[in-house]
Order: sequence, then C-alpha cells, then structure tokens
Amino acid sequence: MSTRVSIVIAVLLVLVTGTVQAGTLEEIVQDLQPVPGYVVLPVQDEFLIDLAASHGVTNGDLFSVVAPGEPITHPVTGKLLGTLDGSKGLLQVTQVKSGFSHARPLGQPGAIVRGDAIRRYDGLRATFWDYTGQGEEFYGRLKAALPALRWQSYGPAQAEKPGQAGAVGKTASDLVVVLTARNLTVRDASGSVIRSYPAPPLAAVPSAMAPVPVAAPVVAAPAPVAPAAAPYRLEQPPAPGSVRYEAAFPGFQVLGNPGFAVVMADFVRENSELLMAATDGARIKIQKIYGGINTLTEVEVAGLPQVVGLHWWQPQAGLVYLAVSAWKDTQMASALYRFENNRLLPISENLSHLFGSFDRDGDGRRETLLAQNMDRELFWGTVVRQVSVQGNRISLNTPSFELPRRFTVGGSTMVDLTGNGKPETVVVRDGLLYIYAGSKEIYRSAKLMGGSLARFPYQVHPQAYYTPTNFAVVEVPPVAADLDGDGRPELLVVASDSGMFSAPGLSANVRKSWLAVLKYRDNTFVKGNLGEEMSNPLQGLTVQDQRVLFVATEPGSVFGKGGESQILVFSLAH
Amino acid sequence: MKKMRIALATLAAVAVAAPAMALNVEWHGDLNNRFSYSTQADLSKRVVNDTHNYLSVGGFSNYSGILTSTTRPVDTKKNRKDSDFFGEIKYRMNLDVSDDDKKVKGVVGFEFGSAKFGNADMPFGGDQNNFELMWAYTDIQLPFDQASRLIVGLQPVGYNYTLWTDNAGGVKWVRKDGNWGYSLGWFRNDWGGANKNDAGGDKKSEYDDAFVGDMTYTFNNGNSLNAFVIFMDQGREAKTFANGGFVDGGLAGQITDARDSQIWLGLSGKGKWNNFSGLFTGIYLTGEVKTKGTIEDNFDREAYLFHGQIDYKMDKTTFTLGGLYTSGDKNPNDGKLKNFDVIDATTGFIGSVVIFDNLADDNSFTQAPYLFDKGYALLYAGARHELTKKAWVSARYLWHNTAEDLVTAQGSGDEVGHEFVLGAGYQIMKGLTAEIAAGYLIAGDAWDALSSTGKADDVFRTDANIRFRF
Repeated sequence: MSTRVSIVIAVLLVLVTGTVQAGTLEEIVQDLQPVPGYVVLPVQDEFLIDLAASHGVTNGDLFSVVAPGEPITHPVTGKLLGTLDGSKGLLQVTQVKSGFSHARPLGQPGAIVRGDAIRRYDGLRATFWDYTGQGEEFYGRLKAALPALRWQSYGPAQAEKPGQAGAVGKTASDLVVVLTARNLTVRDASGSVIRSYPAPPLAAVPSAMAPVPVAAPVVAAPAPVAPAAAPYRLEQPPAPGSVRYEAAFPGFQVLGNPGFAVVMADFVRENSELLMAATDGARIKIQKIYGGINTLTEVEVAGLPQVVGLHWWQPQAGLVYLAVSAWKDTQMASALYRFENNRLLPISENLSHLFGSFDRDGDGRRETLLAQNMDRELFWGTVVRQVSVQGNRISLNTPSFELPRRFTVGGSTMVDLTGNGKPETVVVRDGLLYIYAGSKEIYRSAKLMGGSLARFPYQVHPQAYYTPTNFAVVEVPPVAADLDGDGRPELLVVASDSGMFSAPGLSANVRKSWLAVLKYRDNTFVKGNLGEEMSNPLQGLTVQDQRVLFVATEPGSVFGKGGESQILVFSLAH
Repeated sequence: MKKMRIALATLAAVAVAAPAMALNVEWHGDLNNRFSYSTQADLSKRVVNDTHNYLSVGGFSNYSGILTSTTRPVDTKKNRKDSDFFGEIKYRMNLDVSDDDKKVKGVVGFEFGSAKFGNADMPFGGDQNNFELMWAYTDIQLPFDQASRLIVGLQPVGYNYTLWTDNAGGVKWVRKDGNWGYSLGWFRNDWGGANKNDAGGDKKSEYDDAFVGDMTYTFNNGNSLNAFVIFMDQGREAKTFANGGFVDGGLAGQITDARDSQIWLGLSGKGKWNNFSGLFTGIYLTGEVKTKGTIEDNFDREAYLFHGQIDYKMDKTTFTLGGLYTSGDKNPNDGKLKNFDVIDATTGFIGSVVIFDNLADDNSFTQAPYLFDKGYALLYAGARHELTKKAWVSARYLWHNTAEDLVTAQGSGDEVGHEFVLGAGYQIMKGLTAEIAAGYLIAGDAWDALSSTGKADDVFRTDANIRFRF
C-alpha cells in the first residue's frame, strides 16, 4: 500500500515541478522503493537473498532484516491488523547474480538466519545533506515520496554534514542522500556511493531561498580553439598580472559496479550496444553498458593464468574478437576469443604473445591486432607482428607500417593527432607518454602517465640461482576523441602520480590519478586535465556518445580480498 | 660488517640523491626461507660441485678421496643420527636506479645468507658475517645505437640453464633488433681462491678468462633458437695444481701443474605449439687439459650434453616428459676426457628433491647435471595440477642413472635409483608463495657403490620454502 501511495505522490510531484527535476525525483523514488524478500542461506561471511537485478536490486542496496514483533489485533473484532515488527540487522548487497544476490551484514550477523524476511530501504535512518543551499524543497518532496525511511530533519542534517561533499561524515543514519550542484548521490553510512543521479535543476524550482549568484571566475586568456565548449582545461602559463583559469569542473557520475576489482577493462561498440570486457586478473566478464550494467558472460582463461590485458578487435564489421594477454608462472599464456551470441568462443589459448588492437584509419573500429613477443630482459620484445585469423587459424605477418623502437602493444594507440593524414603512434611506457611519427619521437611527456594495476613480477632467468626479478606493467591505452568539437581528435590518457621509490612488481603505488588530455595545437602538444583527481587507479577508458566512461578501482588487500570498481561517467555534452 | 656499512651507506646515498637527479628507484627482493628434512641429511649438502672440474687421467681421479677417506664425507648408507632437519634463509635484495627512459640503469644487489638457523652465521642474536655482494653493474643504452646495451660490472649471467647461470664480473654487449638478438661478453673468474689476496692482471695463471658470443632468433610465433660459443682459458701460464681445489691426493701426487682450456658450442630452443610447449639444449664441449708432473700430457676434451622437455597442457593440468644426458668418462687411460663439465649451472629445472636442487637449493647432493666424471642419464615424467588460481599440486617420477658406471671399492653400477616426488604450493599473495616437495629415492647399484658397505639405503627428503619475491 505504501508503495502505491509513494508512486502516486511521485507522479503528482512530476506533474507539479516539471519533467527534468521530476526525472531525478522519480528515478530515486523508484530506486529506493521498499522491496520485500527473504534470506536464503548464510554463505561464509555473507548471506544469499532471493532478490536480484530483476527486482531492481543493485550493488550497495541496503536491506533491513525484519524481527517479527507482537501481533496487533483489533480490540473488538479480534482481527489481526499487523505486527509490531522491528529490525534485527542490516544487509548490504555485494554482488547481484541471476535470481539471487550476495549481501554482507553491517554489524553483528549473529541473529540473522535462513528464512528471515528482509525489506529494502524500509525502516532505515536517512539523512539529506544539501551542498547547494537550495535543496530543502527537494528534500521535502523526497521525504514525502519515501515514507518508509526514517528521515532526519533538514536543519540538524545540515549542521552535521561534513565540509566537503563526498567526505565521510559522522552520522547515525544508515543512508545519506547528498545533493551537490553536480549530482545527487545516495550513499551508505561509510560514504560509498550506491546510486547517482543528475542534479535536479533547483534554480528552476520556486523557492523562498533564492540562490545567490556565484561570481564568475576570472579567465586568464581564452583558448583559441573552441574554449567555451572544451570540457578539459589545458595548461597555459598565466598572463602577467592575471589570475589563472581555475574554473571548477563538473565531477563524475557513477554508472555502476562491475562486481569485482577490475585491473583492466576495454570497451567496444557492437550492434549499437556498448560492451565492456573487464578482468580482475582471474575472470573475464563481458558486460553490457547502458543505464546500468548487465553481465552477458563470464569466463576463466584455460590454465588459470593472470590476465593483464584485454583488447577488443573488429577486423571487419560484425566480427568481434577479444584478445587476452595473460601470464602463467614463467611465460605468457594468452588467448584469443571470438565474441558471438554473447559468448566467448576460444580461437586459440596458451599463446606466447601480448596483444594490442588499433584503429589506424580512424573509423572508430579497431581493425588492426598486433602481437608482440615477451622478452625476458625487456619484457616488451622486439618482434611485433600483425594478426589475422582465418577460421581458427592465426597468422602473423610483418606490419606494413613503421613502428618505433619503444613500442608496446599494450598501453598504446594510433591516431592522426597532427592532421597530416598519417596516424601517429602513442605509447605509454614506464610512466611516460611518447608520440611518434613513424619511428621518430615528436613528443615525450613528463613522468605522470599510466599507473596500471595490471602488473606482475617475473624472474628473468627462471631456472637460475641468481636471477633478477623484473616486472611487467600493461597500461590502459590512451583514447582519441574530439572532446571539444573542433573536428580534431584529442588524446585522453590515464595519468597518475606515483612515488619515486617503489617495489613495482607488487604495487602501482598510485597516490592519485586523473584523466589527462593532450591536444595538438600550433604545431605543439599542449597538456591538460579532464575532471577531478581521484585517489584510485583507473583501469579502463573510452569515449562514447559524448560521454567519457572509465573504471576506477579500489584495490583489494595484499591477500587478494576485497576491492571494488566503479564505472564512472563524465558527460561531454554542454 | 664493514661491507654491510658500505652497502647501507650506498643505499642511503642513492635514495637521498635520486630525487635531485630525477631518477627512478626500484627495490626488488627475493626473500627465501627454506626448510628441509631428510632421513640422510649428510647427503643434503654439496658433494658434487658445479664449479669443480672433475678429471680422471692415468688411472687416477681427483674425486676418489671423497669416497675412500677414513673421514668419509659421503655415505649413502644410513647411519645413526643421519636424520636431520634444517631451516635456512637466503635473502637477496637489489636496488635499481634508472633514468626516466631507462637508458641507463645502475644495479646494486646483495645476498644475506645462505645461513642456516643455528649455524655459526646465525646463532641466537644473529648479526654474524653472512653478507655477499651479488650484483654491482651499470647497464647503458648506447647513444649511437638504441638497440644496443653495454653492461659493465658484476652482473647476472644467464647463457644457458644447464651450463652457466650465475653472476660474473665482466663486460657484455647486447643488441636486440627485430627477430635477432646477439651478444658478446668477456668475464673473468678466480681460480680456486688463488687471488684471494691479490688483484688480477699479472697473475695469468690464477684466473680464468671467459669469452662468450651468442645469437638468438625469435620466430614470429614467439619460439626461439639460441646458439652460443664460450671459450674459457686459464691463461698463458700453467696453473699450480696445489691451488686448484683438486681433492684427491693420488692425482695431486701425479700432476704438478694443469692448464685447462674449454670451448662449449651450444644450441638451445624453446617453443609453444597449441597445448604443447618444449625446450631443448645441446652442447658440445671440446678443448684440452695440459698437465705437468708424473703424468705429463695433453688430454683432449670431447663431451656433450643434451636436455629436452615437452609439456602438454590439458585444462588445469600440465603433463611433463623430459630427459637429460651428459657424457661421462669411462676410461681414465685413453688420453681423452669425455666427461661433460659445466661452468656454474643450476639443476632446479629437473624437479628432483633427493639428488638435485629443489626448494632448498645449495643443499643438494649434486649441483651439476652429473656425478663426478661419470655423466648422467635421466628420464623424468610428471604432472602439475592447478587446484585453484592460487594452489597447485604436482607429482613427478625420475629415473636416475650415471652415463658410465660409477666404480668404487664397494661396488659399481650406473643406476642411481628411482625417485618419486610429490609437491604442493600456494600463492599467499602476489609475490609470496609457500611450497613443499617430498622425494623418495629407491636406491640403485650406483647409489650402493657410494655407500660404505656396498648397500645403500633409500632416502626420503622433503624441502619447503616460504618465498617473497618482488
């Protein structure tokens, strides 16, 4: 009954406040609706529950576990009116499977047993942190639309909110809704984002608290190429006496959680669908990316090697392969799969190469697959060959184009940045980004590029007594896209700041990461940044439909436990 | 201790200086904690040494003292208190300092150990002298040829796993371009500790010079072939025999000087074909040993080695079949030295626990792929199964033989025995593994000949380690 009432209220709100704001409100109300279910089974430290994606459940969703209370009976008729239920614990969804989900208890799980009734977002303490100063009315509507939540009053909630949006504050609530000028996020008590929505256009809402206009930042010098539309900022020396351009950039929105800690991901558009191949080093998941994430298939490479590289390859329209670079014990154990009917079909496994795919003609399809041998001293070997497949037979041929000496098939791309009609080769290696015209180096960045979790240590002479330990890193390839709409591609690259002193075989040692932009302008390359810095390594990157999608990964413990990833979205549309 | 202070001062200086020089500093380690138990722990030590040149000439051999001495160090017969257990550390660390492009790299590496728990190097309180300089070299990309690198100093050597994989001081030029890679190297070795208190340069009788050339062709499919030649010569002057480390008084009494010149010509390869993978090595050894004294002659060397192994991967299980043959010297009176000799090899690839190196290496019966000058003939087969991504079990059978009969006063024969090995391992975290392997050797007649009674006992040995590599 309460569900129906909530939806009716939400619909009324839509009619009153206009479609844009209502869209956000409607979405959040729909997503936070109470959904009843049951605990199916305790599994290790978690519980299985009988709800899944088909019920609208997603990772991070919170359930209260019902403690049945005394029956409430009518004093005259004796009819059972209901029960005085309480809550004996909270569960948070960690993994959504087909037909059921995994959920971990928040707090002591002792009282939770098989058969317990659960209800999503029911009876939870909720608070609303408003960083716009204009969201009280929105809060009121939200509270009215979600009566199953026990809302903290607006005023006290603002008094206890942390100084910065996204910071973990002290709260007694189970659920926190955070409203900023950029977005609306639903977070758990630890600050982790469960769901994210565009910010409702509060300014359009009539309010007694009219927003105070924010002073426009002082612009040092307008960029000559479409500066108004550019979603990134380029490094420019400030003009004497001026203030440097420091406009705040919009942040990222969370699209979803792939379900494991991704160490490498790659994206491809196939039949108008956006697919992501992602690996945690052990499994490979193929997921469809839309408004959310849907897992199409999941495989383990034969022999259980450590997967470090994933590259989609489309040698012709309608034909999609996934090239997997993997390592086992003392040698490469890579594989090539054909993706067909939402399944990965092995073409060949236990291969000695590392793979990388490239779009040399700039048509948006990576038609070229290159294979590189593993050299025990250099890791990236000196033999690079072009791959072709006929049936299940792989052929390796000398590429018809020139490659630079420090070329690596991983962490590289080919794109015509200079507009001379020939693609340059871009390589991220050892923390540097190189751009080559043929074999000639035309640009080298500072040591701030890359920073991938896809790495492993290996022995240079595995049979020897005294052998150096080397390490291999497979970086996320840069992506070329016209970010500012000037008709020329810019380069979008994962960048990071890592410590100088490191044990690189074990850890990427990334202190912060961000998306760097490289633009060719006035016969030189100018570097800039897109969006904000993050504390997590970035393990996958693409630009699709005026959106930058990338994967941020919180690495697990050294023992391989825990860790998770989020697919983040940055809209280029303005 | 002084060395230790110097090393730590170097590390500190590099670490402090590096930021100002915009260099990258990488820290690598191989921290190996090993444990071993054997029913005959007196055999868990180096009896046959890879750096020793075994000779039998004029009816005398330079190792028979091991077998006949009254304080017999080798007895394959189980004696009282032979069962024993040890724990040992072998910690290696190296610091690599390089520029951003890795055009120049300086490496300093140290080894702490090997030191067994409770021996003189590691009593309660520790802090004894068990420190070794392992690497100290500079690796430079040549400015006029980006494909070339010059490596100067005490550096890792990895020419072939059956012949020479260790460290050596010298200079090596390496070039890799496309499918081809090649190198030239010069290295110098001390002769039996003769230069302990002297610098080389005017003592040509007391060091070995090794000159190496090798060439590798990598096929498009990643398979490769490597051909190499190594010439090692003692120098112009004859070697004084007394400093040579030959242990048999009988041969020492016959020879006053010996000069050894050796040439190894080798071809090796490795490759993968679908689920099959394999590797092989074939080496021919030629050269001569010139002796002075009662036995004064030139003895030609003529020996060879072959090793091959094929692996077949079937889902989570890999099956292995391999063989090793090193020629031995059957007749000590024919004027030819037909036994194969290695420079500084490893035997861990064989997978034996009782005879060759395993998880507690440096503590094996033989460090070379042969027994004395009798060569070796070995067949092995096994399987390894991945239980999970982090856990595995393995099993292996090895049929050990010498190439020629091992003859002692207690008997003779060529069958060392049949060995059965079981193993398991678990990756605790990235770089950190725990492994255990246990071997049981059913003694053969050659093993019997190495006993004090003519009848050896079977041997059980188990090795384990917890190893952290990064």
